[in-house]
Amino acid sequence: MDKRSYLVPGLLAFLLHVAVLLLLAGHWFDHADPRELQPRHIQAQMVDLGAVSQALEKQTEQARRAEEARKKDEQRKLNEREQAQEKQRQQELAAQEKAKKAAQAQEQKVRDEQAAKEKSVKEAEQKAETQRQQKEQADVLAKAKAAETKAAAEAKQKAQEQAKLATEKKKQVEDLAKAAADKKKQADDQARRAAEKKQADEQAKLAAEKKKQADLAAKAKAETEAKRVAEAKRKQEEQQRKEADKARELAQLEKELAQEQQKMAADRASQQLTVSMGDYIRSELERYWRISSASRNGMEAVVEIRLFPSGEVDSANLVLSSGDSGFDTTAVQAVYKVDRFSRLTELDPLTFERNFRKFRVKFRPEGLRW
Amino acid sequence: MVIAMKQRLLACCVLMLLAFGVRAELVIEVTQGVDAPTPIAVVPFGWSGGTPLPEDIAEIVSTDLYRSGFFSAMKRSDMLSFPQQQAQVFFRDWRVSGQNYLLIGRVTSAGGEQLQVTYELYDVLKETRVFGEQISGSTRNMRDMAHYIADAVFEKLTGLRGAFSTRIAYVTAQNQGGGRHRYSLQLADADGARARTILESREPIMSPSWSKDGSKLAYVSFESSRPGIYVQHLATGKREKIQSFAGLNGAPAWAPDGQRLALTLSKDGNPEIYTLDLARRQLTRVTHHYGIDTEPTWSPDGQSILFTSDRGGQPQIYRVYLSDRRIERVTFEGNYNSSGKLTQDGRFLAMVHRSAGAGAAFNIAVQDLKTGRLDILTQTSLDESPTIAPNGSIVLYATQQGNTGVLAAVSLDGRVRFRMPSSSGDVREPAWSPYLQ
Repeated sequence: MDKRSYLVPGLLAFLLHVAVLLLLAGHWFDHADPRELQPRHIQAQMVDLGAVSQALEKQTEQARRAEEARKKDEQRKLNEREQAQEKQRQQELAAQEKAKKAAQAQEQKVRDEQAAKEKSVKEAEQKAETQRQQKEQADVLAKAKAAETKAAAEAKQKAQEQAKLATEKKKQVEDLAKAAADKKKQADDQARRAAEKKQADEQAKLAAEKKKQADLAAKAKAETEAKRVAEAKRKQEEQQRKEADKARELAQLEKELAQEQQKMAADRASQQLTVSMGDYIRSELERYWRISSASRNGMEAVVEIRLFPSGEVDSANLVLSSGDSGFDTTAVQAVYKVDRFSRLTELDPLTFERNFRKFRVKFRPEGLRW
Repeated sequence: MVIAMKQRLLACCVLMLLAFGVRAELVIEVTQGVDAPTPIAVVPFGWSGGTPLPEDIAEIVSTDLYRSGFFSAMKRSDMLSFPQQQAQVFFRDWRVSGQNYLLIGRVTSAGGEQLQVTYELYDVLKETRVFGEQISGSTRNMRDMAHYIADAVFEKLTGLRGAFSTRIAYVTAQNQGGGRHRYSLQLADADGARARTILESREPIMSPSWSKDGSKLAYVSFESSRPGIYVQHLATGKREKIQSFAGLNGAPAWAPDGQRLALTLSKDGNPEIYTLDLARRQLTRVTHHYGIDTEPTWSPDGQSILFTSDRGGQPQIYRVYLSDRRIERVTFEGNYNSSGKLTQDGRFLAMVHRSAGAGAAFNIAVQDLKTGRLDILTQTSLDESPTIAPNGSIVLYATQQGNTGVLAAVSLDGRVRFRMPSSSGDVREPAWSPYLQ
């Protein structure tokens, strides 16, 4: 065995614990037999719990009766006020139109129902208050009984404590009564505020109804006026639309006319240019047309000329003979002699294509000797 | 709205009508031109033979065309080249030189004196070949071939039949001294070349007139004791004396039908116009007037005769209608109009004209019978005996050059004037033949 083992310390520790347990064991088991302590002085005051109980009952009954009387008085006042309000409301309602009677009746009904409901609520509250008081009384009695029992059990040793306890209980009862009074007062205030609130609500409701009626009338009037305005506006818009259509038609016509006039102006310009170029072509042909000796006044040959855009002669073909082949030949020769009408390049392609790509020249001599 | 639509529709209609007007095809009318002949270049014809040809065909053609008044011939010295075939033609050169037409040709020998002539006419402006032909002949009739080519070219380009192959007859008078003259009736080409004498006389020969078929000539000859009217057949040289009345016998004119002659006879004491039916030898007096009526010429339709008469106090030209002998005055301008000749279409009357006024000369004038307009064609003096080419293009007449009578010609429009090659002696009384068969 190791000399350095824990056996001894452990054993010593165990013994120490056992010793402590043994010392404490007596306290544990002596508790079952309590030692009666006798007060050094007992100054007891006799309390008749029955009288107390009766006093409490009496106080409670008085408080209840006072509460009932107060409630009745308040109820009477409330009824009087309600009657006055009802009377006033009846007078106000009588001044309203018959059309509102149904709504008023309905409202009255709702109000009656509400009043009945409030009444039932009040009754329920009264009943609940009675039950609560009864319960409190029962609780007080139960507590009194418990205290009586306890006092009877400890009367001898604890008379002073009982007296103190009774005092405390009395105080507690007073506090309870005071709390009940406060609560009742609070309930009264709440009921009053509820009635005031209800009255304010009713007034607000009446005002809202009145406002609603006024709004309906105003709305109806506004609708009628709006309809009239809308009709007038519709007619005005229709008239404006017709005028706009007419104006648009007129504008369209004027626009078309303007376009046509522009086109005509362009055509006139083109025509003037065409005339100018026609004079140029004529002068060129007159430079090169060699009128033969056999030509006679009144002869006429028509040559169709086709040109390239450069003004160069593409072809010249006789389309109407004078009956004199020599005369016809001179006419065709004149065209080929010109070879190129160079100024035609000044024309825009469209005018050239329209007028000078292909055109005809009438050769008709004038002023000949014969 | 409806009104607006109507206005719109109306505007559209108006604009459409205007648009149609605007879009009408352009027609340019040319009424004036250049009074100038058509330029043509006649290039010397090529010749592959060794010896030179006796005639220059190209030169003859060029001269013919120039004398017609319709063409101006390019000088050879101005030509840049002498093409003989189409491949050698550069149209641009000819175009730059201002020519409208180009005539080229070549002559080849066909053995012996026979020749073949090929010619081609080109349109310089169109750069196309107008036509071409190959003809045959001999070295002896090269002028005929040349006139033939000229006629063909002329007709192709002018539409008129060429008269270069026709003949002219005229009278020459050679002063043999001592107051004696030798008269000859000459026959020559239209250009005056190749003149030959068909009649010679020591007495005057006057007023030759061609028959319409060109086979006979009628003329007045004083070879007998008094003037007689003769008809000579050119092919055979046979002569026939038609009439020889006492007094004046002159100015024969063949009717278009070739069966009649119009004559001036004074057998009844006063020169009057007669017609003679050659087949029946029947003479019909046409005019009955105390004035002098002479120089008859037939209208192309044979229905009337124009003649010179002084019945108005001055020589003027009148027309008598054979059907009813109705007479009307034709000329009014000037104080002297005579020797009228009508063109084949009967429209123009060439005549000797003297304007009114002192010192006025005798000129050749032409009057348009359709309009009455009269134009003086010549500027020389003492012009006489106009005769018109069958195509009406040239008027041939006799005039004085110094103291010698010569033949000259003027185009009917007066544009071209030229003198015929000079013949020996005094030349007078030309007569242009009709188209020869």
